[in-house]
Amino acid sequence: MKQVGLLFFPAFDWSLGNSHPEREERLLYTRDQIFEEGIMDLPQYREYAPKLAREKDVARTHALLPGPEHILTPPHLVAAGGTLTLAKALMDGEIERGFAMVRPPGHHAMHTVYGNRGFCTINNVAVLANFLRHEYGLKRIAIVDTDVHHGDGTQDIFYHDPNVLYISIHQDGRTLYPGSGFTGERGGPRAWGQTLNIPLPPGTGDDGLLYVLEELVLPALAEFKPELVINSAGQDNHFTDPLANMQITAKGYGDLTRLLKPDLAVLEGGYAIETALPYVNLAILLAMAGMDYAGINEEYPAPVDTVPLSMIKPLVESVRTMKTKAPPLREWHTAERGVFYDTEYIWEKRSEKIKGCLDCPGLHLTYTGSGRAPGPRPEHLVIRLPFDTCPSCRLEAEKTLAEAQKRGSFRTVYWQDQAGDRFFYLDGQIREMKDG
Amino acid sequence: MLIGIDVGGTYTDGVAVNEEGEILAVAKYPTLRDNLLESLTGCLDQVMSGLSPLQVKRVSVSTTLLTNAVLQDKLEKTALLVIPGPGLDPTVLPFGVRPNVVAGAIDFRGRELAPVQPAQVKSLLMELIEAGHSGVAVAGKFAQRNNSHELKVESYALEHYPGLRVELSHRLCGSLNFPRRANTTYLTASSRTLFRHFLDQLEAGIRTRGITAPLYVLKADGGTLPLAAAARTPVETVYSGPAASVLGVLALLPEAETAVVMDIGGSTTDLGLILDGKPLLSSRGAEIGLFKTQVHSFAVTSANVGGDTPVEVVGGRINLGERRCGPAYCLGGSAPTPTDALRYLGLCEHGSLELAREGMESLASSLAVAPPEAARAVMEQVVERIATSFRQMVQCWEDEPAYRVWEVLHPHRMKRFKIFGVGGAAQGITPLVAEQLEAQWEAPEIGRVANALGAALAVPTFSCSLRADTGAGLYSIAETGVQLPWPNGRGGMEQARNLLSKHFRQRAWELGLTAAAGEITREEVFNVVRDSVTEGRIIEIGMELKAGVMTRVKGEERQ
Repeated sequence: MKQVGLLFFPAFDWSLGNSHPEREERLLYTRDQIFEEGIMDLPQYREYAPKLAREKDVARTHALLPGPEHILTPPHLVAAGGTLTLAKALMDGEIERGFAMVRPPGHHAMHTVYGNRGFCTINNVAVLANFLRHEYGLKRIAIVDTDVHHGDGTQDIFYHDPNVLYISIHQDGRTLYPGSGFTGERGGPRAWGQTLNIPLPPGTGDDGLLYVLEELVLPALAEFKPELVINSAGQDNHFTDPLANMQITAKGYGDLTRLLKPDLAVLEGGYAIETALPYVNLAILLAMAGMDYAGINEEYPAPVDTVPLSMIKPLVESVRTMKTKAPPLREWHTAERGVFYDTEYIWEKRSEKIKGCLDCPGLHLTYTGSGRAPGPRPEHLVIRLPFDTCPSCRLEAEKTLAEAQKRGSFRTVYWQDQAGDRFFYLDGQIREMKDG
Repeated sequence: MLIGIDVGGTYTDGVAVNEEGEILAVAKYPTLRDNLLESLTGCLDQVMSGLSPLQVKRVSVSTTLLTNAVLQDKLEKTALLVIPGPGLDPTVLPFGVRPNVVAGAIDFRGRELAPVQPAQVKSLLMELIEAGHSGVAVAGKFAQRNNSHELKVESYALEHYPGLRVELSHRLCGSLNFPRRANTTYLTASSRTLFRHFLDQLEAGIRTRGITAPLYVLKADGGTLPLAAAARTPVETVYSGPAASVLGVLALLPEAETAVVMDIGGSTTDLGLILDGKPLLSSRGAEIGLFKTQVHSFAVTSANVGGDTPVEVVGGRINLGERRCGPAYCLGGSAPTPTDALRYLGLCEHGSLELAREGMESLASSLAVAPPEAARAVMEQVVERIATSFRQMVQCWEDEPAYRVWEVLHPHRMKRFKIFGVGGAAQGITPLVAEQLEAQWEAPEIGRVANALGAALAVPTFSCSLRADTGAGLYSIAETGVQLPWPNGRGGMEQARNLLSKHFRQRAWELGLTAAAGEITREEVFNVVRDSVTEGRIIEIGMELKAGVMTRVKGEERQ
């Protein structure tokens, strides 16, 4: 029997602050529940210990500004490394599927990172996906984000990537952080439709969630035909979560997992640490092993006033029949945006230029700056050569680098060559990202 | 003078050693399968010949009684009653026997979610008694956080069915893992009478020999306990044999050494680890047949190969059998074995060289090679099996889960180590294994009775763990099941330490131990925050009296 891999890393010695939701206590009761159940003794499971992620594993996904030493700390490398540990076990055929129950979470961390936002610094799931592409040559990966908050970080990282399908089901951005994830956000011109956002009204219950899954998510997956499905498994859709307003139960999470059949699930948010997490984590674990989770009962009575299915159905229909067309492919596609880092009170201003290339996903240039107030001056340049960069985009990238070097107008130039797996920061000197 | 006796599968070994670490006598006595008592006293007589019983300060024994009773199903008829509450379907949980499920539920913070149903418990107990059970083991999920349900079941039982043996899980062990706690409770309940009876006989046997010194029993965690204390928790005495060998090696090594203990027996080779002078404990607990338990034990891995493993040629290759079929060919057995290969190669002196040659020649002719080559091929296979088990054991230790950032940044890594071979064929096999693993080695003659030496010199061990939930206003001691209100006060961790010390001393006294100095081995504290207000703390600390030896064996004795 192939086992389900479990990597439990509660980071009992790390927090974002004494009374912060991301504190030592967060997975304490989850530990109590799964250890007391004796899960680790069952033949269906195999436990793994996290290995540290390498600098390069992070560099492949993020531009850490002004340099990795300002951003990266050991807890991030353990959480990201833990997901990679499970990925290796999966790819080496040791396990059938796996659940990385790790802290800190990651899905609000974007392509450029100046600090922590939405409790996230390093995007574990994105690091994982890019690791699988580089290390194991996977071509098509789907990420299904079931955290109650829109995974704006993951969306940002793969927005122009035609080979990663990003689907997010979340509470409507008009009612919840981070205020994004509307149906019109569908991907860049070369990756149109590879981002699928399904905002749901506050109060959606199990039936609504499962309806969306069956009517939108599973068909989208079937059409995309990914080699691997990753679940960003946030648990804050639970009806007792203090930071959101959904009505999902532990059994609902079990059903979701059973239907989605993710190859790898990675914990994101979820802050009802006593009333939800122990039960939801257990339900996901059992569902992953094909075991019965009907016996899991939260101590609270199940929610009653959930949004009726009649309100969810038209919403699903409108997503299904969306008529918006992909933006035309121009020589350069440009985008401007401001990003706010709520945890650390940092403002980022960013302009992006993506080459409209027919031969590859296109060279990706990001001009970015940060400050303590809106509208900071751009001072860093990030040159991303995506997986499968074509020779002409590579040439253009090298030209851009040489020019930036000559003019010396940027504080940092970050060279992110995903295709050639070379990553360095240029700030007076070249600092290569290490492999070990 | 300290006496140690270890009852093994084939031999019962005995040692007398004085407090300065000088060995006074050793004995090897054949184990009588159906009469452990006779094996023990027979061995004791051999050790004591020429020594005065009045000089004896302590007798420690390690026995296979409990392991045998479980594996041969000689336990008393006992029912397992569980209170699983919501969660996993109890029928898939790894209980060693069929569980009888009753209603009731407690959550992880000890809150009652659903009450016990007296009528259901009563009628179930009636059924169980009618089915011939004389005892019942009761285990509730999270009973270590709130024992009220288990206590209620006990009180119904005592009220309505006096005479029924009742064992409650929270009084025996308190670590998280409900199925293991249930199994431990079941084994305790079903073996206590049997074990008590054996110990009574043993005590009588030893007293009639004029020995008035206290008697101790060795446990799986390499510690000893006075007879009376051991009798209460017989399950802790499983696998004390391998533990005894590890301790014996500890007594033969210089301080703070790192070594792999390789105990080569007839049918298996047991591997244990000593890291910087501390034997490695299993992270979860001993497994006895179908029963995964919470019994603390040394992490001992068994390689399925020993001196008597039958060897044959299959498909032009040497093939090692899966189980022992009798002694080596050179000792009158029916099939060639690794012992024959060693004998033939001149690496050991037991048995007839003539027969060993015959055995190797038969293998050699099937392989169409010269006999020495066949013997070497046998040993290559043996070494490979041991080395594979060794690598798995080290891997397992290096891969032990980590739950804190600090642990991941300070991973377990095996550094330079020595292989210490003990047991019958150790002197022949150890150098070969050491060569394969590129390690130093040692296999002194005295290693033949390392197990008995370990028993003789083992110090007492026990642990005491406190968990406080100051918000809920409660604390509990895992090992004894004590659950008490948390005294008001702002002491936090300091107060927890003081309370733990008190309970530790109390437990030492109950176990019949004096002057026990515990070591704090674990301290964790979690702020319990609700709505941005710190409501209290969850504090978990553990104190242990760790395994070790009273004295080390003197250098000249080790030759």
